[in-house]
Amino acid sequence: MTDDRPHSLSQSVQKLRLGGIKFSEAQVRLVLAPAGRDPDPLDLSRILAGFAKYHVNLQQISVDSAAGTVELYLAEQDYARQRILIEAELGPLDLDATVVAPVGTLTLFPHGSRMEVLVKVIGLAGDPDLRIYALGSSLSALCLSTDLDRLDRTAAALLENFSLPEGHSPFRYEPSELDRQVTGGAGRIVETIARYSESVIKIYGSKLQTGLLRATVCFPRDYLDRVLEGLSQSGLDRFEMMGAAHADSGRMLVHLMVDPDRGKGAIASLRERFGDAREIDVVEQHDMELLFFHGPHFQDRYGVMCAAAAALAKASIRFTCAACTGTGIHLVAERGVGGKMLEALGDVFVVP
Amino acid sequence: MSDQQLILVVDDDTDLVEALAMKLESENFAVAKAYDGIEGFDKIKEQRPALIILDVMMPRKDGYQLCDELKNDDNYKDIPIVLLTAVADAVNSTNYTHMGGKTTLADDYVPKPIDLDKLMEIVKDNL
Repeated sequence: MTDDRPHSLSQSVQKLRLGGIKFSEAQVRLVLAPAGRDPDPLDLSRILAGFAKYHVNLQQISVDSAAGTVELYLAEQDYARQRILIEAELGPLDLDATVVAPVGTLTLFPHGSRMEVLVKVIGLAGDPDLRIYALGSSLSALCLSTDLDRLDRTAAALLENFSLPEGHSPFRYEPSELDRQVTGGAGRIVETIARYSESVIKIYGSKLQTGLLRATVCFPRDYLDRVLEGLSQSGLDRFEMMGAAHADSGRMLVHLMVDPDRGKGAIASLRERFGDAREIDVVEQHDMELLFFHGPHFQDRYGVMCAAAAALAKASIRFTCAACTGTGIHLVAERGVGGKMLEALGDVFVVP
Repeated sequence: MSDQQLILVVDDDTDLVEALAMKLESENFAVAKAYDGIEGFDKIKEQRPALIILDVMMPRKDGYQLCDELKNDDNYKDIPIVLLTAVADAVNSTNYTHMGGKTTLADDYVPKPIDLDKLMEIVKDNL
């Protein structure tokens, strides 16, 4: 579509093309952390088992093993229905819980692994009016969580930098004829919701990448523009996986899994840019491994991440961080662990 | 001008669209993407793909609807359609039951989770 209206220089900035944006329905954001104790490697599988026991789908999950934090998103209606049971399950685990509701997830796609897309999306986290809680990547998408009533505002802010194709799908789900027939007009069919009882979970495939660099940058939110400028000028043009969240005391944490050579250059560039600024922590972890399992529909199926965590715990395998975003699971681990994870998870996941 | 054949993938699972696109491109196909049935129909009119890979359960216009419309339209009925369906051996594990054995005019189907190599075979057989 051509816009023939006169526009200012600032408006003429080239927008990046997206395939679409979609909004989730109302969700609850739950952040769980050990209450004044060291993280226990078994916490994750215990937490996830508490949800799986009551057939609660976890639509997004983010795990930081070092801190022992687990960030979960679930449908608001599931939380309302199962809250008492879930709390009874989690109570004995001695966890601090932060609950925010209602929140929503904005999913934009495809990111194409392009840093220029990522930089513009992370930039939204600097706007306190948008209140972005966290970001994560799947194979195709970037997912931002914010307050439910800020989804439209967040999409509008995105569209200052991105364009959508003409005739793109609406942001909110609109039922099809099949939805109406099957649900009797009640709304959406969820293809696989809470109906899986497989001993082995069918997936599309898995991919193990080794020798990657994990770059973690933690900084005061006021520095966001400068950090992003540094990243966008660093020569790093692709990422394999990312996550971002607000940390304590107004700080923000971004982690990226990237090609080692380009990543080293990006980190050197950031360090050069910020010198010895104490406010900015840049950590690089070399020879990291990234294991990806692809769906289907993990976000609509209870117990998938629980099965993965239990298999890894059973094999005493520790990973650095994990994310279940979109229809995939990403697991990040140190050198040599990826193959072991793949082997341990072979009992749980199968490619038909 | 490229002599690659254009395959249109229509599915609201954006990760699957991406995975299929990567696989198809590795097999030297050009790929167009759409994320629901209405957007898919627009892409078909604009780009006239050589084949359509079509999910069944999608917002706005489901795969059955789109398939019926295309196969009953003289302009498009010759474009092969491969349906992606969560039925087959997964009946017990989904709450979607293929509408009690509904038949479609699609040229072929692939059960989900998809065997990508099998899908590539079916795509090539239908071109």
